[in-house]
Amino acid sequence: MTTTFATMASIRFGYGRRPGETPPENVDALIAGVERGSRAPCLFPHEGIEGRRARFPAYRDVQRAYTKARDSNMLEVVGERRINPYAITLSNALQRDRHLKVQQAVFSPYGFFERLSCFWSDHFSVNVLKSSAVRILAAMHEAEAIRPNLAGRFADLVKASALHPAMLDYLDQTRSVGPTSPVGLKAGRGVNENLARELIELHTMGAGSGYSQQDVREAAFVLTGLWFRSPAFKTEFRPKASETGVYRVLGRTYGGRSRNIRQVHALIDDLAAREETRRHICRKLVVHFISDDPPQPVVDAMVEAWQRHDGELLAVYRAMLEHPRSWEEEGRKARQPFDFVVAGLRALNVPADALEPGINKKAGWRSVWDAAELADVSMITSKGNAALGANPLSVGAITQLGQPIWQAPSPAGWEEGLSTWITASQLTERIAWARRLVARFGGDADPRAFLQTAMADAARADTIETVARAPNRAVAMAMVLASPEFNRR
Amino acid sequence: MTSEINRRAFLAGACCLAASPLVTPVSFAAMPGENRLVTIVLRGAMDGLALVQPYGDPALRLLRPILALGVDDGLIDLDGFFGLHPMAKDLLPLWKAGELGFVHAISTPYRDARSHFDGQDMLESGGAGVKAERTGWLNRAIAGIPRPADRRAIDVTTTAELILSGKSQVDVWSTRADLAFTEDEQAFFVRLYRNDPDFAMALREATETDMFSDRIRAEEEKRSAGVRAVAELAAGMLSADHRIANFSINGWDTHVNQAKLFSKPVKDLVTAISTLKEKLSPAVWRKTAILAVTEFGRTARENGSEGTDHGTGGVAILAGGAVAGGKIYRDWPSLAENDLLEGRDLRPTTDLRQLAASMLHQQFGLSAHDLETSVFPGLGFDKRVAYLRG
Repeated sequence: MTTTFATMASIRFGYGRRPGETPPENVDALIAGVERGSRAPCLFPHEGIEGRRARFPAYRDVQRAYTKARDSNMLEVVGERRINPYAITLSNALQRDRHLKVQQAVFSPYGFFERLSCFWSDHFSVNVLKSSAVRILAAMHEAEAIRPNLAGRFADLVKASALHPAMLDYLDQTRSVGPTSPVGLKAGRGVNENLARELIELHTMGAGSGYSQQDVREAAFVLTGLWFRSPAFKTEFRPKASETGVYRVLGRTYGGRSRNIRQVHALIDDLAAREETRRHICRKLVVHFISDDPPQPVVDAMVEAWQRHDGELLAVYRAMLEHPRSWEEEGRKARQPFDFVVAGLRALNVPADALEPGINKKAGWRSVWDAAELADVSMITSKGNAALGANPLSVGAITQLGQPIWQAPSPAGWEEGLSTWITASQLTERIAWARRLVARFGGDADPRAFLQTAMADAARADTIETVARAPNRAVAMAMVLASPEFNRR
Repeated sequence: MTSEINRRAFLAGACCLAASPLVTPVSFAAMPGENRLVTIVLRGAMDGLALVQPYGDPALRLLRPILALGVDDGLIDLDGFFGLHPMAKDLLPLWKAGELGFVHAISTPYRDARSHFDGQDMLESGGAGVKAERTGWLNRAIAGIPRPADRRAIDVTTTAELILSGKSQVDVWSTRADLAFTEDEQAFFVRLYRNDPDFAMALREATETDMFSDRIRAEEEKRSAGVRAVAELAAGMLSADHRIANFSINGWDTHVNQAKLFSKPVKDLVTAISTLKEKLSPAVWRKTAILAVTEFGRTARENGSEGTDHGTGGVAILAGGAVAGGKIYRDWPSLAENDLLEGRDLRPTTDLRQLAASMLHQQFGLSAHDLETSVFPGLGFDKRVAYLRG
């Protein structure tokens, strides 16, 4: 390691340095941050977890009002457009959640925890484009399923994340019913394998790790009965939609004449305890944090710790952090757009009030819905659009850079490779964003001092020299954020 | 002048400005009286020896075999010793009318280190040393002048450039400066990535596939329109309540291929001055002084890549109906080997603060005491040197 522990910890295992924040000095501090982070309150969803739950009925009322108005052809028309108040409300709510997700990462002192939250949120990807339910649940999924569980046992994290209503909806589990169950017979429907496949292929064992199509099929039967009701949005087990019978997955049997959620949990426990799962997850963590070409000894040490500590994730993280190879070869990974933007906002110490959603003041806005309870998410512009827009410095930039929050293109999440994120168009956009950001928040900072603030001893000699010689302050400040080492980790 | 006219003048300027990318924010200050001052900061170290070439100094051709021009190459003779760069020929009518002048071998007290930021800091803060002053000299200059109370921030999200920053409230306008790269800046990005193959390739690809260069080319086409819009905005504001305007022109850091790179910012400067002349009424133009200054000059010798490096002494440009132009103010130090500063730079013989102080004194009546204590602390102000028509 040529860079100091604190610098590398903040860049490789955090969102970079922020003035006034003490970077972690050792492994214990990093691990303590994970524990504290998992207990700390989270900024999203914007009403808070309980607040969002309390408002689910209000959101449902908008949906009903919309459906009713639509069916009786009573929708308000602005220009050529028929206004959907439910879509407007959900769009505004999602904007608030996304902006707070950025703020959470920017202002949290527990950088490693926040990076893990993103890692697991990506591992258990959901996509807000799937449905209105996912739009309102994506923030909940990360806040209540992932964050409180990522410092616990892996099996519990899977249960919370893969069985969360957001995932059940995203991966069509709500459509999967036992074909000969009362519900299935009545509706003439059957099993959908989507969640079962991803549970094995993505969430636990990994693709091509030795399971068969038959295992997926059988697992899908085990999962029948999982559902949730709106507006409670709580996962339940509905026996009359589940397929009775015994199912064999990877040599073990689940189910019986009477079906219940414990059988689903047993399947997850067994999948989580498998060697393939340990290898898959540990390798994925190392690929994400350390190198696209992960050093095998680090993976092995983590797998060993996993086994010894029965899937306790803190022990697995610790094994990664304590391995010397985890502190070598700086800068092999690209900062993904979310990471890059958050790191830039941190380095410049951008205040929270500059990271709020944009509201179109010029066009004017009003409430699309008269329920006072949803006043903060019901704003519509005079042109009939949701009034809250992406802030071009935070959420807008991340979207522009191709990584919209909670909107990964597939259940496999975002690409990891440097070649995906360091391309001609990425670089062009990154430089453009850096220029906009420093124009607004660069102030009269000395670019050489800013490079120190942002990168400390990770700043390379050639970058220091180039920044120092830049023809003006604005371009020099932008160059700090556009520099190779700021875009790598 | 009512504030309504002021507002309309502003909006008229602002709307064309909003459509064009702009290099820097424009800042303004409103004041009583009729005299106006426009400062233009030439960022990147403008090569004074290229803009106003001492072709009568025999050393010039020896120092700059490629870059030095003769009258035969299009250099415009000004006084038999100095010649104006051909790209600035549109300014010739102003020179002939006595509304354009230059101060040669001028510099701030900044010496030896040649950093753009520190140099620009000293240029704008007016201090005797780096970081000696934290606010801009123009801001301190207006501190003592009674001004209308209801100052309205035009763009609260942008800070004024240092030169007009400080306790006194000023107005600022900026557009979202996108990828408006000047060529010298682009060269620095190439340099920033030179040791990182992944980034170097991405940048090269962006340039080659025109992703980047399309944006830049589009910016360039808009660039002269942008400078014009800035000058029009300034003219509108100066015609109403405002008496001081400041903006910057970038792109002067000509380390390589100067013959090509230098002409673009010169054109911008010509556009800025010509537009002010065109848009201000003759009565207002007569009361207007324009002062264009840079952080330092460039090396007397050309370097190995047909450019010049950071130097010391340079040129300040004076324009407007209020200036006593048609002449080059100088105490010429000569470019002979022995006369160069540290054997490399044009030796400064005029303190740039003296020039600025003199303009504030003549244009706004600032006292020698204020100039020497609060505006340019430590300056020994010489009242006798005047650059404006008295």
